[in-house]
Amino acid sequence: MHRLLQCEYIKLKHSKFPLIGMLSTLIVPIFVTVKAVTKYFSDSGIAMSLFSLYDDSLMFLMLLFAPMILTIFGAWIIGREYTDGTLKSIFTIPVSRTSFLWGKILFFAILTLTFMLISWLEILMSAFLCNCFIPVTEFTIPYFIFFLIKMFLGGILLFASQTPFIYLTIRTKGFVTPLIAIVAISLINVVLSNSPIAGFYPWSASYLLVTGRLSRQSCPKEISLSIILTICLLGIATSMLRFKKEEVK
Amino acid sequence: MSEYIIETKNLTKTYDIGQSVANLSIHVRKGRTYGLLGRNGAGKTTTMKMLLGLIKPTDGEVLIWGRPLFGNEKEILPRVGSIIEAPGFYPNLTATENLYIFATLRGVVNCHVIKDALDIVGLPYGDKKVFSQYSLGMKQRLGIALAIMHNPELLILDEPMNGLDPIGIAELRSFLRQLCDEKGKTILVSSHTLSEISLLADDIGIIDKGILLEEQSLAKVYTCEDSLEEHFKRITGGEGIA
Repeated sequence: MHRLLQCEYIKLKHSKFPLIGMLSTLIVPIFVTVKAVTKYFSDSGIAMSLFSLYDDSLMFLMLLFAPMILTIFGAWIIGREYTDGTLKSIFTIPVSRTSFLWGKILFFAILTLTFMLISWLEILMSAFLCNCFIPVTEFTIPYFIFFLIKMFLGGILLFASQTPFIYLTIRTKGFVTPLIAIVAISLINVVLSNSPIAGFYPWSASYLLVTGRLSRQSCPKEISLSIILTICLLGIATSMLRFKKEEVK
Repeated sequence: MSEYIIETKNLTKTYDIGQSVANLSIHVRKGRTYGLLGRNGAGKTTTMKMLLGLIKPTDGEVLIWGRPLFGNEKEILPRVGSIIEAPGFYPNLTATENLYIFATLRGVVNCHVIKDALDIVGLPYGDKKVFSQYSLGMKQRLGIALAIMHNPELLILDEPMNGLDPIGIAELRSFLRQLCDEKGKTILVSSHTLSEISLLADDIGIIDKGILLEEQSLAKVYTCEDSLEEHFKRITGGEGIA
């Protein structure tokens, strides 16, 4: 497996993908910071808080932005093997199709967690910069760690709810269909986020679970987790089945 | 032990639109170069893909070194080198990096292996140029380097001369002949260029519309006909191809 992961890493060389990925992680932290600073100056007296910076970031990341960006990442990692025509050389080595796809899935999981951890670091840096000019409350190490854990858990749940898009990429051999699907799903996320049934919708449930807001919903935590796990396993199982019987035409 | 390195028995591939290969039975002997001849769309690439396990036959059997390919891929395919259609590589990587990835996947990571393969095809080792900047001929050369990098006993090459300049074609032909004559490698090469096959192959198989029309040694062809083109025209009952 380490060979497959090493190869995935080498495939990123000279590519614009890491740079675009890094830039994309900046969008939510910058947006949330600008929003908080604007609010501070318009409603003077209301201090900026590290909690609200992270809380807002988690909402934008988990409900809207990260699913879309991660779907593009996932579709690129898997879809490029079809568009570059490399599968015929890989399968004739031979590399087991199951191991190959597991390598891709694991690499995608690493990218998802890296995305969330970089976002965490960027929010922290942005709060640090703001703190030089305006007071930022709750700017303490326990809060840094508290949100580091939340972002990490968020990354795991995001990855779990993304696996059906791996199947869609394999099925359609491109990123257009998965992208359209994730845009639709993210829009439903926005509509459902305050609804009592949001806990049953895996993509909203991930956010509610991480932020502890699920307790305000009618859906028990165990049910939400089971739905996310089912979606994850279903995504992986269907991807494996499809990839194993794939013919290189 | 079978006397053939590759043997297919009634190999058939049917798609929704029709039959691509029908009851194909070819026999490739050890240490020989076998030329699979046919027009575009005759079924050469489909046959080669089935020989490499990239597509599953609808019917029939593929035996390589006397063993069924399907179910024994892990033992058979590491001993085979191949090029199928246009070589597929990662466009953002250099030739060396591309070969490094495939060498890593093969478990033969060794700078000398990669350097030797690049030397043979005339591409520089450690060059900064990425694959997307390569000409068609250079891409084809890299495909050949990938096929021979692990010193395979059997080469399955689908139109390997595509995109090469005349000197490149002559060099590749001489290299393949050398592999066959001096190192006892077995080569299955497909082409629609009769002149190339006539200079390279020991045995030929003529395929048309997925059906094998004839299989025999090239020497025998020349005892009956003046040229391979005349023979091809007679067998296929139509125009020559090149």
